Amino acid sequence: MKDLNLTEEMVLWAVWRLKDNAYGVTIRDHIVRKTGRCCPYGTLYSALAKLEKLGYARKTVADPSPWRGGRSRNYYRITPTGVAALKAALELKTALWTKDSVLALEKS
Amino acid sequence: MDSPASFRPPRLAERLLEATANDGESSAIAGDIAEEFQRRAAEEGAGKARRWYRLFVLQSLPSFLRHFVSWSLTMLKNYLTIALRLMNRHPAFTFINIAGLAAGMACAVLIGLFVVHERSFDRFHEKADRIFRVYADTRDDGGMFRVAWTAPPLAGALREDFPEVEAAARLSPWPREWLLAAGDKSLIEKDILFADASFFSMFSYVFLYGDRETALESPGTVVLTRTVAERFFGTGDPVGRTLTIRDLKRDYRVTGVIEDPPLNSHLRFGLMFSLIGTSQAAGTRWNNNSLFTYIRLRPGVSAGAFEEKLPAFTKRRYGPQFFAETGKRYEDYFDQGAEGPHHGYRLEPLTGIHLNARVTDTLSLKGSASHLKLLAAVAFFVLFIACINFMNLSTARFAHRSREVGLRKVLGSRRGQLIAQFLGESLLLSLTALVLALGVISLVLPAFGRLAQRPLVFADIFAGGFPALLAGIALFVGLAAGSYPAFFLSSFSPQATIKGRFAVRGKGHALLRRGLVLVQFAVSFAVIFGTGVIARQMDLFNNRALGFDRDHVIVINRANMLGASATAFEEDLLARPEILRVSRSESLPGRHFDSTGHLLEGRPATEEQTLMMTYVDERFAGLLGLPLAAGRFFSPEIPTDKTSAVVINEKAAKVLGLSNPIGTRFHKTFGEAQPGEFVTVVGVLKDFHFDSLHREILPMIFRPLAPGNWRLTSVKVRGERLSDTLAFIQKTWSTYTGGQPFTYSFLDQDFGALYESERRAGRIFGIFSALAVLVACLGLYGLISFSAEQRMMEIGIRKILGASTASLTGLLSREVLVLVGIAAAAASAPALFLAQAWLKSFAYRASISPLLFVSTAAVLLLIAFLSVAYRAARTAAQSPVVTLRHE
Repeated sequence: MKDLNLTEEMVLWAVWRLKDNAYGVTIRDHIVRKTGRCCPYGTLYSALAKLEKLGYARKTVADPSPWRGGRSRNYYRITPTGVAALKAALELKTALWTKDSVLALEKS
Repeated sequence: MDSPASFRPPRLAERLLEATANDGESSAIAGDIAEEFQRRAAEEGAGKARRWYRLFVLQSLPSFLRHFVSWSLTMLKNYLTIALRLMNRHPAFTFINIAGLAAGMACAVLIGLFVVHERSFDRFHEKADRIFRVYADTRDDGGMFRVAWTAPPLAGALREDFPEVEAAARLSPWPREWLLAAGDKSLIEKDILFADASFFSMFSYVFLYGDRETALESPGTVVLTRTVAERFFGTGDPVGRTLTIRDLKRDYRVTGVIEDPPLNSHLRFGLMFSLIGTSQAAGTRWNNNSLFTYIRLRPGVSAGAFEEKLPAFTKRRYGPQFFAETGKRYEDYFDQGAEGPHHGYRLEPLTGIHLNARVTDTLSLKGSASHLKLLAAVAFFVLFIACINFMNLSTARFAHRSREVGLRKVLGSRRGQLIAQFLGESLLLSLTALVLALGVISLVLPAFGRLAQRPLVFADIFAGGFPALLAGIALFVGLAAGSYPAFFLSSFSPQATIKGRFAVRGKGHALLRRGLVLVQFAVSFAVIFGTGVIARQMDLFNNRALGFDRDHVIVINRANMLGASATAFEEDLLARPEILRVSRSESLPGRHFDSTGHLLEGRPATEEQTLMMTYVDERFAGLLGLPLAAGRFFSPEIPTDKTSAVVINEKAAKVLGLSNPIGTRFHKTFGEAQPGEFVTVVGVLKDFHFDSLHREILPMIFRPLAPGNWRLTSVKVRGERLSDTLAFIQKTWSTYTGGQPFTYSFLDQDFGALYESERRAGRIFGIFSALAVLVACLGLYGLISFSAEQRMMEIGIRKILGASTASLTGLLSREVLVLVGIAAAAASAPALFLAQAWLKSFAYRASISPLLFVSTAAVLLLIAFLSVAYRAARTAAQSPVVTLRHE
């Protein structure tokens, strides 16, 4: 299993949280609201493409709609391997950030 | 959120987004941006949302572009791979396709270079557009003459009478061949001309030493070109040094050196002597045409309007002299209607002299506008055939790829991509052909330059319109050839294209292909036919009975240098068995003859008749084998023959209206003639062609040779061991002249030189027509290969059902042969028309026999059959097992 980088991790996390409603706008929105920062769509979509390629997320194309200028929505759903990857990322983080190290970081 | 779109994003940014994000993923992104824009507009107001939209699109642009470019490169790589793989798979086909087009382009460029060079003549002179040569347009009983030689007083009179004339200069254009000496160096120089002082201020030659305005001002001065100056004086400044013309025993002072003149000039000279002070320059007679006259008009003066003032001018100037000489008023004699005698002057632009064939001027290396047109037509046709070929073959090749198109479509290619792919591939081929063509041109250009006798250089390709032309051709051909598959194949649904190669079998396509083949072979027919006509005309030139014997005659130039020892020289020669006859003369057939007015005894002065005139000795007729029509030739036994006898040709007798010319008398106008002296016609020679077959035989008079007129000695020898004979003549010459240079030529070659222009055109035409046919046949071969492959299955089935190889070969080639036959028939009429137009420029024309049509068609059919039959037979001979498995 391949490790996620930070952007991928955030995006995959958002896709997981948004469940049925994960597509470009909502994903970006969600990340911004939760973390206060995000990325242009270009970066977002290259992360999504990567996740898709790794098999962590699956894309479905919805019908085009007029308020999107006649363009369709790409919905993403997390896959079981994606969930596993998120878990792995969390494990890595908890392994790093033990209480001791958090305290030490705050002091420094 | 799912409310209808109520706000419009900024137009420009939206367009930008659409242009860059228009496929797959990007489309979704664009959709996201649009959606977010709508939301923001609803929440924060339209203005803020629009600002955000603009900023956002700008921010995303770089990454969109990177994405776009990287995908394009990937696809390009794929296209290239496919293209190269296909080229590799059919190497012969690819070679035929590219080489054919390259050959066509190379042809067109070579001829284009030649045409551009020919049209560049004399344009290097500043103010060239205002310089004109005045030519004489006259008519008398002998016929019409448009000659470049004009009367000596003309230039001065024009300058005096017309303020429009800014400058005028005269030139004595006969290139003399004289022995020149400076210090201890003596050399024969050929390109010797004489000109007025104003010559160098009118024409833009570059002076290295000396002063352009005054160089030829005084008599006895000469201006040299750099090459000639270095030959005599080395590299220093020779102004003020002395140059001696040995033939005239006169000294000349060098007053200037000019840079070697550009080769694209109608005037070729190595030395320009001052015309001032020569008897020719001092001439005052208006009916003595012997000099070129050039004038430069003031800016803004119309040449046409100026020309219209010339008849009145001629009458004013020539009238009094005419009256004094003939007792007739000018207006009573000249200008009596269209058919009457006429004496006029007209202008031809300096830049047009080189290609103007209507005015006779016997300049060497004269161009020919009609040959140029012919060549340009051939160039166009070869290129045209090559282009058609390229399109035909490309189309055939692309048609094989309907499956690829189908597959690409299934995999998501959009039509635009397919169009770009095919156009690009076709362009790749045509650009390769262009590069190949440039290589070929650089290789053959020197040889072509020698053939055309023009200094053509490769660098010229990068000047003028050539780069644009070449790029234009490559682009046009590439796009045109690619457009069929690009727009036609790409328009079908993937289902249809994958199913089969239906597109190729479409009726429209076959019709187009047949049409193109038809056009190709019609053009080929015309070109082969034209070559045939030129060859026949050359045959006529070479083999027509000229009325004299030109073989094995050695002509010694400057023979008068022998002086008093001439008789001893000739006796020494005639003592050898291989030397048959010797004769002295002023000129010989194929060389220049002067013409002068002659008046019969008892006729009024107005009936003076212009006759070509030359001086010959009594052995002349024998040496050339000229038969007499009446009377006798000059005889050494009759003393009066040396002074008061003349011989004329049949044409002269006819023009003069003499039924029994022997014994009639002309006023004597040569030697030490007193008024009232006459010369008697003692003989009439049968007409012979003393001039090129371009012109009809003119009336001619032969006068007895006096030492002062003697220039040439002709020696008739036996045909074998020619070089020994020549060596002997040269040795004897050296003995008697004290080592004077020996220059000689052969009469048949001199005469042949008159048709140099036709010979060159014929050879160039021949080469390029062969190329045209070759290219057309390459195309045919390619097409038949293609169609044979298409019909593999059919052939296999036919074979199983009992068809023989021969009948199958017939089946495959029949269509093509029928097409070629139709093409030949269709092209006959235009080819005949063109050939007749070309032949019009000759007084003596080859006939065009029906046989020529038949043989041309036969040649064409044979070539076509050979190129088709080989391929067809190979296909037909294949085992049905192989052919049936093919699809």
